[in-house]
Amino acid sequence: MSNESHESVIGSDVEIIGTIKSSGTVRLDGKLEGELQCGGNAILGKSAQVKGNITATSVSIEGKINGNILAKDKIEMKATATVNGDIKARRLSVEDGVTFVGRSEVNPNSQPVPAPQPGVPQR
Amino acid sequence: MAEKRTKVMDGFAVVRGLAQAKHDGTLPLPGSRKPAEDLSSHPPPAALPKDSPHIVKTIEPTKRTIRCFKCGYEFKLAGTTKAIYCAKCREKIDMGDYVIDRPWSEEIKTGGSVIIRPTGRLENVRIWAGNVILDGGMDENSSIECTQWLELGAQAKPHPRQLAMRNLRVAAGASMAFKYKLQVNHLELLGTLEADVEATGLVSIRDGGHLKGTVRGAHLQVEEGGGLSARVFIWPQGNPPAEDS
Repeated sequence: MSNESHESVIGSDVEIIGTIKSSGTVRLDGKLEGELQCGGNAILGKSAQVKGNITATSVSIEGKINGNILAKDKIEMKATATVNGDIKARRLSVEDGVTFVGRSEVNPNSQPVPAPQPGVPQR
Repeated sequence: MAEKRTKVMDGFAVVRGLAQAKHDGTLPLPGSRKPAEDLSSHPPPAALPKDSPHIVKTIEPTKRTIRCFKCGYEFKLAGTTKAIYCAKCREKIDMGDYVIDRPWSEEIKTGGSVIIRPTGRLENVRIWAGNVILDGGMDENSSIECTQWLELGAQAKPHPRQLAMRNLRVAAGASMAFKYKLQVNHLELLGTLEADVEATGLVSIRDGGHLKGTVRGAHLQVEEGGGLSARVFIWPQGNPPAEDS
């Protein structure tokens, strides 16, 4: 991972057990067993598998996640996404083909979601 | 559009044509062949304009699904017609469209569409139709049964028990609450719906739409700007998992 680049990339052959914290954007194509906390955007590729919560400004999902998602702005679920957990955001976009089991709290007319708090409990 | 001229060829015309050619001296000798014309120096043909009569455009007519009110048999119908007979039981099915803009108490049974405007009101009447747009009032003794789409407008305030439909659309500005389980094929939201939804087709939440409650189905589509405050069980592969207590 580069300290100077705005996007950190975790390749599809990488498996991480633990917490990832970044102030920028993180693109995850590998496996993560733990939390992902981004100050920027979180992008989960098609081969991404996450067991844990994600907290970011915006989250784009093409892979699998077992955990909760808290986004300050937007959650975007692509057609290949599988989400098993609760989501909370200000905006939401879901493509046909998504597998989604959980609770959703998305109201575009409401106040912005407050800044993510550390230590969000798992479902 | 220029008319297309069709030249009819029959035996008499062929014999007459050959006799004329022989008289004019243009009839080729048996066995002689004209050399192939060199077309390389010819300019390429100009593209035909889009509205040229030489281009055949195939436009498939709109197909509607019709359900017989007597035997329940469903079949597809292309084009428009005022009446049709069920292919199974030969029951006559009216296919006319109706617009209600005043108090109405006459029963309607049609495979077409019924539009109830904000000035319209159903009074002690039962409506069977293919598609219904409800934007007016209805008393507690009236009911609507749609074989296809039911659209609820902003002025409609029906009791859910009075409605039976295959597909449901909640128009922009409308707000509906169903205390009972809502079972539909397709659901399209441009307004607000609070219900326990079970859909066999596509649940589509458009910009400005908002779904509250619970939604179960195989297909979900949310446009940016759509709201979803619900428990979600979307499982394209088949039966969704049992919900947690």
